[in-house]
Amino acid sequence: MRVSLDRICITRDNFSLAADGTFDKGVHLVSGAVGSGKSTLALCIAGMLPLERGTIQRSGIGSMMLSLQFPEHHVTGMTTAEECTSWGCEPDTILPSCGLKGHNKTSPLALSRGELKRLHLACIFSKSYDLLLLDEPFSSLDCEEKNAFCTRIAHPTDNITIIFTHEQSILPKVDRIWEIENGILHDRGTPPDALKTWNSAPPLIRKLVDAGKSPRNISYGDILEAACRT
Amino acid sequence: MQDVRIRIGAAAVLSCSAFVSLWGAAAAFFWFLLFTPWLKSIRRLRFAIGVFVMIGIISLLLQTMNGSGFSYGIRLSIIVLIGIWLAGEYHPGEFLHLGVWLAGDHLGFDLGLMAEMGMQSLISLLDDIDRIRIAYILKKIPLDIAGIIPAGTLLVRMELIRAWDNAELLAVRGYQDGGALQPEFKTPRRDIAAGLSVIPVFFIAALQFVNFLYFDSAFLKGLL
Repeated sequence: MRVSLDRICITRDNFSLAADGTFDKGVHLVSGAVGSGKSTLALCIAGMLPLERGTIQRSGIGSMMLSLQFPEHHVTGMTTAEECTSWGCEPDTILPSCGLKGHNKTSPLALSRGELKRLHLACIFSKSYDLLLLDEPFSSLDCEEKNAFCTRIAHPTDNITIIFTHEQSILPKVDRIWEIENGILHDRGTPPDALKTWNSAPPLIRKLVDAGKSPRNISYGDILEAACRT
Repeated sequence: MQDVRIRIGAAAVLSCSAFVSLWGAAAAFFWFLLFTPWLKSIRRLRFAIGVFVMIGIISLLLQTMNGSGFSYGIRLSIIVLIGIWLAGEYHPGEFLHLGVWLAGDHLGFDLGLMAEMGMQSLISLLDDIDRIRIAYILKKIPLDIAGIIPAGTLLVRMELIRAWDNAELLAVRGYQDGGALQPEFKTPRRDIAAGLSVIPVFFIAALQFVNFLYFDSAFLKGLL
């Protein structure tokens, strides 16, 4: 199971993005500044945007899901119960799990964006996908929810999960770090070695690396362990 | 075309020319090919597919009724093409500059601000439609009549939320009416040449229109 990007290129008005690399099983983090092309790359890998050049091969991928940055865009049901059903989920299981018990008849658009994001992620995680693309999964979530998401992601699964984010505080353990810089996708490698060349690393990680206390990975626990290391 | 004043003026003249006569439409199309990045506009045609379908249906009806459908279809299609080019050339903020240049700091600023907000809404709407279409594909839900209702509701709700956010932002910044702005425009020579080139297009259209009024129009003959 793998996703291979073979010298792909996407151009749009004044924007261009070039990428080359292979995503194997595991959790991948694609970081980059706002507007660097993370969402565009996610859409391309999902096959939702045409490429200017190059090819994307999805080997052994039977099922795929892309979580868009704004959960509203995924809404197809008139009530939260209908929304759960549209994902093929049981409302009575999903709604209590994301703190929305008793909201069966509420319109998904009447929920706050944070609540809707929780519902959306709960629906996505109730299924298993060979390729899971998460575009800014941390947006609209509070710290508690971000941590819960990281715990959920940390569970070893037999798939490819790619997280596209510019989140700088709470991150999950990942197997590989990628970075979009100046319109090019760079493979920074596996942590902890990847942290040395990760230019858009969170300031705390950068500080620890500079102080010679490189964390083993990028999760909160890893950062805490590195900071307390003597 | 960088100068919004010339662009809007040219689009207005070309649209009128294309509307009043078939020769005007042909000349406007020639101008469109000569002075615009038309390949870029062609790529945006998918946004106007619905409009073209509607024009096609009306053209067919007119053709069967009085034989003028063919001319109507061509003329209206050229106008839509010009509209697509105009929307594609938009740069955020330029309508505000145009409004103030045209009608000053009060009325002009307000009109420009309204135009800006309208354009921003249109861009957001197109982006939302794209994302919603993707979400439907991902969920394997057909975007049929039953699916369009929640999608349409979603689009309206999102527009209302954005309008509310914009209103709050303007209120927080103390906006009441008008504002100070020094309009700035870039006018390269090519823009001037393109702007002047709409004059012959207008005359071609006017000539055919006048010819129609004096020699072909049964209505006018009746009046005289």
